Amino acid sequence: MLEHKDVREILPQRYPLLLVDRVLELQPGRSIRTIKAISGTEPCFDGLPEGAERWRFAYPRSLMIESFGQSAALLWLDGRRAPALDDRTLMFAAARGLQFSDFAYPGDVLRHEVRLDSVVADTAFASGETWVGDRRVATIATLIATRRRVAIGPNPSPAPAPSMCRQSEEGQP
Amino acid sequence: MTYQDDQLEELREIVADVLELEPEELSDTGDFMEEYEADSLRAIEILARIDKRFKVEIPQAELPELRNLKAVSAALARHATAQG
Amino acid sequence: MNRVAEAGPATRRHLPDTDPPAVSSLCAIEVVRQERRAQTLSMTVRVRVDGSHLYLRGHFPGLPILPGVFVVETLCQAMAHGAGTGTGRWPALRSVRSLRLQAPLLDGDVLMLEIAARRHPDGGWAVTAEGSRTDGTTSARIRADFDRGDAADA
Repeated sequence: MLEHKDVREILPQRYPLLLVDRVLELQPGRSIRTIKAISGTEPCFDGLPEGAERWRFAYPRSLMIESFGQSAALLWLDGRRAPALDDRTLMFAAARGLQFSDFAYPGDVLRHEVRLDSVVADTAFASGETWVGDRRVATIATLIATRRRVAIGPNPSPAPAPSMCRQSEEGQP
Repeated sequence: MTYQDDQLEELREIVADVLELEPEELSDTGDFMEEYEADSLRAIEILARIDKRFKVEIPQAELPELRNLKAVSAALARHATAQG
Repeated sequence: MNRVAEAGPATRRHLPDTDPPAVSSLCAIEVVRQERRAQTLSMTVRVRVDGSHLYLRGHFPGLPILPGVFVVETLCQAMAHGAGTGTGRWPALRSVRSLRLQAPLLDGDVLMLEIAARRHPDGGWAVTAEGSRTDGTTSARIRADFDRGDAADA
């Protein structure tokens, strides 16, 4: 099991976009189970009007996807920090078949069950579900992440190419 | 239909799904990048899906050659035999 | 035309000054264009990437990059604004058929999201959107479905 402190050493995201609280189980190269507790004190609930209805407190589905994606990243990274010389960042590249079946609210704990389906050419394919207790709230058919360098500084001029758009080309396939 | 025809049709469904087309819109020889707006991520996704479905690993080095459905089918046949 | 309403410096949150009222402090959208018909909705919305925004301070420290999921969030907020009826829950994201994230957006960039939505027979929405970066590069493509909203309870 990895505590939040350990998650923080592995992933580059920081508050308030570090969206994995704890890793419950990790089978390297295969699957991971993580949790993220939803609290009323999260920034996404800041600024709601007085008397806001219950549905306004539904946890944003965009952040639910991000939390799942970070869980997939932890799995891809084998629950370990990347070597110091590796300046590549894991980037969310694509997704397919995300189905949301229920909402999650403050007090709920999101539980992500993520499977690593394959890794090809520095591209990871993951799938899985997100649960709150025994309620499934999301199903993820495919989540695709890539590992690449991101240049700091002004954007280079666009180079529309058949390949994935990258900030800096470094002889990648 | 022969076994190979079945496999080609299943392959067509998989590739069409990745390229976000209906299977009937995907021709045997239509170039993925020229005709269907695919990019290298889509090509990699096709490899990964083939690996998952058919348990056949096509080497990344062959990615540039996987330009159309026929080429993918041939690569699948080639490596399926090799991997038994 | 809707504008971004900003609170004071102590709580730097960005809430669209819209009707229905404040959607979320996640990322502030500006509605540039909106055409709503009985069965279709088309919108252009804009999001400015501001490195000092709370969420971007953590993504990543020293290198603000718009999280890819904020493209989804932008779409959600746009649909809340454009397809919401002003009373009751606005349409929520039901599924993402496909999401493709390409050019990353950095501090100072502006994401322009072109949205085309068509009503389902069940009252929900089938939506496609394409996002481009300030320099014109396509940054994101998304196909998604939204429900009809207005449910008694979410």
